[in-house]
Amino acid sequence: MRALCWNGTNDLRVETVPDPTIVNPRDVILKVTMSTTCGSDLHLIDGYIPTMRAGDIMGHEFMGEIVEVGPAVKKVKKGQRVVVPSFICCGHCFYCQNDLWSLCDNTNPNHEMQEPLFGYPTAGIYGYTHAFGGYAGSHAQYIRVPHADVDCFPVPDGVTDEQAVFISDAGPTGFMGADLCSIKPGDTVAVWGAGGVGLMAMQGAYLMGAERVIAIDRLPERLKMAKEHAKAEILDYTKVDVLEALKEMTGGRGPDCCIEAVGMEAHGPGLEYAYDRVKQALFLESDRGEALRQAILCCRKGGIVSVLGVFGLMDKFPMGVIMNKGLTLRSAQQHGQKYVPRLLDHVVKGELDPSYLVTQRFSLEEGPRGYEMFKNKEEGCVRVVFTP
Amino acid sequence: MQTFHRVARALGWFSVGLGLTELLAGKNLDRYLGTGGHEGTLRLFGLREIAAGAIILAQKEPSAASVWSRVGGDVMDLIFLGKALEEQRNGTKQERLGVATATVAAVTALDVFCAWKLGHGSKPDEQAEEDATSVETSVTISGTPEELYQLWRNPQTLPQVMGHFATVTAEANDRAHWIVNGPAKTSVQWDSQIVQEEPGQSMRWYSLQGAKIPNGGSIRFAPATGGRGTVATLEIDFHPPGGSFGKGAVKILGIVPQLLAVKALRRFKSLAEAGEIPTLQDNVSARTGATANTY
Ligand SMILES: NC(=O)c1ccc[n+]([C@@H]2O[C@H](COP(=O)([O-])OP(=O)(O)OC[C@H]3O[C@@H](n4cnc5c(N)ncnc54)[C@H](O)[C@@H]3O)[C@@H](O)[C@H]2O)c1
Ligand SMILES: [Zn+2]
Ligand SMILES: [Zn+2]
Repeated sequence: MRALCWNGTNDLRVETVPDPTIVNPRDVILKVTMSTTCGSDLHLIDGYIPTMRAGDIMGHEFMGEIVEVGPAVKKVKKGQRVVVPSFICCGHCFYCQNDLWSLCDNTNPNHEMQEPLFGYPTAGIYGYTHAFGGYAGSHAQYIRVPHADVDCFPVPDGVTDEQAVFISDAGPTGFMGADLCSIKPGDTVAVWGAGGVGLMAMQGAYLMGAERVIAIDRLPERLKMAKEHAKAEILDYTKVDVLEALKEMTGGRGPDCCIEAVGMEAHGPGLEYAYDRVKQALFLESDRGEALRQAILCCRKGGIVSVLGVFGLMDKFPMGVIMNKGLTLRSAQQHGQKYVPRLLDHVVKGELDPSYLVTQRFSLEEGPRGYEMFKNKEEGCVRVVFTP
Repeated sequence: MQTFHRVARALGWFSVGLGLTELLAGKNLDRYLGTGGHEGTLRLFGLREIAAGAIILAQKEPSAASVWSRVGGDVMDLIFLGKALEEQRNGTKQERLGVATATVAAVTALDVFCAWKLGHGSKPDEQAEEDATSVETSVTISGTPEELYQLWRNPQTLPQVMGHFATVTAEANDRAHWIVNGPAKTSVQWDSQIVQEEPGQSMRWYSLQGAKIPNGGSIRFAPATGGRGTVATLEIDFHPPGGSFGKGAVKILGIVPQLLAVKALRRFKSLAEAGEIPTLQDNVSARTGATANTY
């Protein structure tokens, strides 16, 4: 089959690779109908996350049609159109049972690569390094999906592919970010980053009862989306002093909840950015944490900071600000399986339509170009979808 | 490696010296360089330098990480000096700043090289782990001790659980045949037998006479606190004959007892909880032989 493969930092190629096969009894094979780019992929392409190997198939946000089922698959069937969250989960361990799906104990065959760094291993994920399982990704014609009864969610008729595909990752991640804020009526929620994840967090925040949502980014087309699709008030961090602006907008109190949806490659105008940039280039630290630090600074006293962006082992972390202001810091890789049914329901009821995230549609063969556009945010690119 | 430990120590002393200068003579240094009323910053840098130096010097064999932390400091110095240089209009002071910047840049290069070299030798604690031939490790699994004991005792279980390191065939009710394949067609085989058993709780097995690398193991199941399932504890021992020769054999076969035991137990947990062991068999992402990138 054809697949979009990582071959080193900033080196993606479309290659012919072996088809996936059913190995375990709960596996299915999916014919991928739509697969999309995610901000997390950029950290891999830019070489900031270790344990990628040449030939790795990229992609972890996808949907497709079941074309082959393993002998122990009971619920889902051949021919079904399904969406699959990015994390592979068993459904039975302590973590799955407690809705902490991305922490599943039973799906990472390479746990030993993670344990020295994290203490305990996380679940496996498609197309996202060997430390996270070494599973082949979804930017391919076919993909093997383990634990299909737990991880494949049939897409109701009337929900389009363009709507369903984001219920794999950007949707549940954004909604989880809002959920981690334990939003109370009257709350103001500020969201850093208006990419797919940030935009979904803004919409999730409203659907969970926020009174106001403020979006912070610098790209005009994304801020426009935040305003039009997510009904957010908007701030361009290159034009205003974000702390002062947020204070003014909230009567001097600051936002009750701050969601960080930017991650380790935050961009910024100041000296702090230069410092992070130099250190990251020398691989002395893995992160440029400007947006996260700003969220911590801007959050009201006793507020909640919800971190969705992906980070390595960040230094210059303002623990003193968190401590003295009594902030609660919450974070996770997306617990997708918890949110998918709710998201599909919102779409069916017409309360959510993530399809506006599709800004470019490419064939798989145009994968490298697609990522180039996504990385450089060319032509208003928010998410490129590939239709293999 | 020796050489780079010595270089690292020299860098450690350099840190302490520079740190003391910055800390005690911050004001003079600030005036000399013309960095413009930043003696406070210089003093803080001084403290950081001394700490970095102390960490390196406190180690018998300085680690790569401790030298990398010096590099972090260098970068801060460079940024600070760079900014000062940009703002300085006085010719003499500009020259002094230039010399200071060049010196720091040279030391940075040395730091990076030294840290890199240190990072590419084997670390002492990894070495110790490889030599260990007796290990014990635990994991918490959903289910009762009785259920898990039954599963462990099932003749189909051991071949699956040990599949990452040996081909195991269940023979009689209490016997199994093990084949471990090493690189370059090396291989070792043995038979094992259950030598002690407390149904529902624990069992112990040992290799039979004739095993080239005598070995044994045990598994115990005990209820976890708070109704969180069962704590399973696996112990594996290798008793290679002839001291270092046997240890060498264990190593050639690629047997790392710690890893082997942790993995076996995790595989058992997955089998018990999820009904299957996660695997990439025939489906590894990546080209065969491609190595993983690192930081
Ligand atoms: N937790 C999870 O499970 C999970 C899932 C998906 C993605 N992520 C992570 O979420 C982050 C965002 O993902 P995405 O797909 O939306 O990425 P994206 O690259 O499309 O969007 C990131 C946005 O952040 C903006 N930005 C950069 N610097 C900023 C700053 N200093 N202040 C405010 N905004 C800034 C950019 O302009 C861009 O619009 C990434 O780090 C990604 O890895 C996490
Ligand atoms: Zn993602
Ligand atoms: Zn699980």
